[in-house]
Amino acid sequence: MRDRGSATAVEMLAVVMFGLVGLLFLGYLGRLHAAGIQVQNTSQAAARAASQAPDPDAARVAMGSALATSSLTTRCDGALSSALSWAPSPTGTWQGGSVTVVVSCTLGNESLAGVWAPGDRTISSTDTQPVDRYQR
Amino acid sequence: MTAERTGAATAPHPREGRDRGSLTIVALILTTMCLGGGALIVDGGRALAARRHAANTAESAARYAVASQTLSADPDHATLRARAIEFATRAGVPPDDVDVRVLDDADGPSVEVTVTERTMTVFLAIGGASTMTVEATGSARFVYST
Repeated sequence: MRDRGSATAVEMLAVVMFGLVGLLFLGYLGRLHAAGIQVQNTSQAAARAASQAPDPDAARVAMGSALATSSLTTRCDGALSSALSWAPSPTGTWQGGSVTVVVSCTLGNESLAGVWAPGDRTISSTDTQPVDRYQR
Repeated sequence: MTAERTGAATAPHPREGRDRGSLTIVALILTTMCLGGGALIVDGGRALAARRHAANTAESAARYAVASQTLSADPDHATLRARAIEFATRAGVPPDDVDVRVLDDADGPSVEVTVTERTMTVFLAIGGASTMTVEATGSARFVYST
């Protein structure tokens, strides 16, 4: 009777540890997905802002303003990087053109996992919008 | 699940063997739950992201097609289709996955774009479903105002 319950306790501990690691893993995946949505939202907002500008320079200013007011400025561990490409129409006018914005954000694995974890991940999102100065 | 016994007792415990392997079942259930949760989060998230990208591309392609027309002439259906497909291609969608319909309603012509996107699965691939297909429709209408 001396060892009654000892095996169950030890093995249950192993199972509980396994379950906790599984929960942390699911939490990590959830936070990673939420961060991806945040980056996607920001790239779409920046592209929409840039698409109302008449030329690439004004579009970059509009994109910068949209990024500066986004929640990613505090969420990203490193600098929030972005790139804009302006594709005018065949005639060179804004009508019929499009603008593409790429937003990249680097997040530490520790902030995603909730516990100490090495390394980091870079999340990128691309959004393309038609240039349309008359949109509302 | 056995426990080494010491002392004089050599006869097997009455319950020994009955619960052998029960924790293996618990571990199996936990593993299945983790994989199921991962499938919901990762593959569900990928499906939602693809659906959203498809909807965004469809709406933008419809607006692009409408915005590229001149207001002085009647809209040309073939050009509208070509413009919508051109924009969807710029957004990374193959032309074969874009369906464009030009509708002549009582309120005026409108462009309806349907985009189909396929995304790779991670956890569901274990069960044999390696890709997911999502579809979204967006439309834009000509509105003439002064």
